[in-house]
Amino acid sequence: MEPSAYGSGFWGVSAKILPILLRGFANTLSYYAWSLLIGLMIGAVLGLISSSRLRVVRYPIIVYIYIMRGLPFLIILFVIYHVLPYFGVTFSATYAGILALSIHSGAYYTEIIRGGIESIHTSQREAAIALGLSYFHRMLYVIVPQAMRLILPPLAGQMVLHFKDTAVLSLIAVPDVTTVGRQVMQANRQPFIVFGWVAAFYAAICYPMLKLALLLENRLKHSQVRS
Amino acid sequence: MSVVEIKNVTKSFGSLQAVVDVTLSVEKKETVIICGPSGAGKSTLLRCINGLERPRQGEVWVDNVEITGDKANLREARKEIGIVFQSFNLFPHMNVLNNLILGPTKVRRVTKADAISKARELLERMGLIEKIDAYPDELSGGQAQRVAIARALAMDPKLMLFDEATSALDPEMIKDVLDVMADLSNRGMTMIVVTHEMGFAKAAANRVVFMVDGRIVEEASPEVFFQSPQDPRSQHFVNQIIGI
Repeated sequence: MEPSAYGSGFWGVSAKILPILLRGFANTLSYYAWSLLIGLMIGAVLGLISSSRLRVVRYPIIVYIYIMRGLPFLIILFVIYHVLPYFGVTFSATYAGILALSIHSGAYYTEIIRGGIESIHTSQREAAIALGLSYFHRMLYVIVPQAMRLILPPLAGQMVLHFKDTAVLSLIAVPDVTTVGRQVMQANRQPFIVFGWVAAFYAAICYPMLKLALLLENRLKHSQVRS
Repeated sequence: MSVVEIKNVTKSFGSLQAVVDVTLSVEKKETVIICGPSGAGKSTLLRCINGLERPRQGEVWVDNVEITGDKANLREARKEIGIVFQSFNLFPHMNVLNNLILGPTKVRRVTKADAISKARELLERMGLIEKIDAYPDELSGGQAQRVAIARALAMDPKLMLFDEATSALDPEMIKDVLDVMADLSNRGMTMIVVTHEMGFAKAAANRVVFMVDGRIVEEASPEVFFQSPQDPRSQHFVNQIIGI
């Protein structure tokens, strides 16, 4: 017989654990939102720089991208959380997690944005230059609007991967939905129900984003056929 | 008064010398044709005039501003130089009207209302006013190229450059574009035109410049150039395009 404190039956157990899991999920969403904001800013700035002719600053960006793409996310997270303190840089688990997610996803966003901008034909750049448009106006009105169509589908796909990476933060014990789920499971011994809900939360975010990515990709295909 | 002064310009790409020591000046209201076999450096020379290519040596002056010097000069000078490309290069994500008003509103800082009325006037002139809301992929090649000419003219340039503007067009559309160019020439626009269209050269050009291997080998009036070219390479070229 189940101890009544943990509820009984699927709905009984669920009613007990859902409020706790939802708090964890809210944390997951907050880590995601912050790291998405910072990651996209990194991607936009570095993507623009590395697609420009500022060759001097391109090299450090390439090194950064190689490091981020060449290491498992978990190692990046551990370096920031466990290694940096030896160099006098200490973050709380939450900040370490958000920072790791930001710089890791930022590298991928950089590559996607750089690729999108570079795939706009030089002739568009030249037409804009010939009109006398400044770099800023050229990007704002001519290049970026066209690049966006190419950038959005892979960006949406990368945002899904980024979201799923938030689960890794549970390994430095931030109170995200995965950590909370594991704690709840250790208490009530109901892994099926607990991780059923945890999985449902992740799917509730990922599935619409995957749909969106697919939609954007199809739209891009059709517009390419048209032009 | 000359609008364009090209002094001893040399431009190379790696080991390839595209333009070699070219000197040329173009007077106000003059229409100059640059022709020559492919790879002669015609387009490169043209692109040096609005700074899309930076010459390795020599000077280019447009309207008494040296564009081969200071970058700020170049930005200023580009407002006065319209260019029409072989492949139109319209902005595909903007309709015709927005293609025409982008430069004037952002670079010339003309009010939107003024830019729109100027755009409508130009489209009327091109016979394309009904396409004002169309997107570039809804236009035929000839229409797209006339919109591209209108886009360049919307900036009120003092000089117009045409880089093989009719080479990518179907034969039946070439005439529409050439008519617009000839009309522009008759209105007194200063024009430098890279083309092989002899009909246009005879109708509108004041001078023909013939280039081979990056050098100017002959400069003559269109009548003289097409009927009795002096240089053997010009003779060969003229014979080829006449189709003898």
